[in-house]
Amino acid sequence: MLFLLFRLDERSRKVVLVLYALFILVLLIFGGIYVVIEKFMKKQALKMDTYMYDLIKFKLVRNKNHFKSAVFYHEQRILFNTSKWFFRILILFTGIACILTALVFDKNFSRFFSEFFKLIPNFHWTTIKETNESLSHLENYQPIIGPGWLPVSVIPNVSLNPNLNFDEPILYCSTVYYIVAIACFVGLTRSTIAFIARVHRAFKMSNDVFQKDLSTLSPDDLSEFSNMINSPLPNINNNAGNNNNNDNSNQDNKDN
Amino acid sequence: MEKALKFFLKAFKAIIFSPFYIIYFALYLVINIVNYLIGEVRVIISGFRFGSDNENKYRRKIKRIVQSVQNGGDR
Repeated sequence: MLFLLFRLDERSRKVVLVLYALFILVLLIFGGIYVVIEKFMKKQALKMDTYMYDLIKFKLVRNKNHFKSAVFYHEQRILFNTSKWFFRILILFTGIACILTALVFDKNFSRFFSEFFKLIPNFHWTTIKETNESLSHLENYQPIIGPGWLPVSVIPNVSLNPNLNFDEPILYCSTVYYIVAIACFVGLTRSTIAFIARVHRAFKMSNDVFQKDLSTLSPDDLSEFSNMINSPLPNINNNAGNNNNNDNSNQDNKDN
Repeated sequence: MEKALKFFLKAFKAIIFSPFYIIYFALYLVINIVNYLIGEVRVIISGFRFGSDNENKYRRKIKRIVQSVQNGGDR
């Protein structure tokens, strides 16, 4: 690839370097997002341990299916508690927006919900085709070699939407609504990802917690167990005697 | 070097599987919405006790066990 770079002329080499830069930028963005979410999920997954620890310790959960059902029992509550206010705020603001649009903005719902997107600026990357076309009138111009759709620079030309009017109040109302909606969505995303992490760990741990490993069983454990079985237990005999007595008394009562 | 390699492998994984991750996330978001709606109904039915400490049956059981052990009884 390096040999190819040396063979290319100056402009084409720049284009290839721009492509490389774009590729690395995309990798960095995706990799960064992945690492952040992974760390967050690892941290959140451990929260499942905090509420399941006592259940296992007190032997309230005894098998794999019961473990899963206990996790879902807790998750129903945790998920509801972590996301209820985001949903409530979102519903409240949507209601206010609809009422406001119906009463003040002449029931123009489509405009209210699309006005915010006018704030997003236009990004335009100048392509090889456009550059060649714009500079073709120059004498001794050597056109850039490469596919027409390829951008010549990483940095785009940024321009505001021509339909944007800062004097209209609908723009400000729509912006406030969308800022609240985006904040709520981020909160909901957070609670959902945490839920996914905890459920995943629950499925993994439901297998691991009740797994018995014979290779870790030492002969000492076995001898202790056999001693426990063979040793006489006076309490049991007494209880057995009591039970017999109770049985006899029950029989006597029945006879009477 | 090894860290950078691991990071780029993660980035590749994220790029390749991102559509599946998005679908998976959307699925769980739907579960979240359904859970919220059911939760609101349960809050109204239980008189705003749903999700509280006293409403959780496992916590009640643990409290009972701890109390019985503190009183000298068996669990």
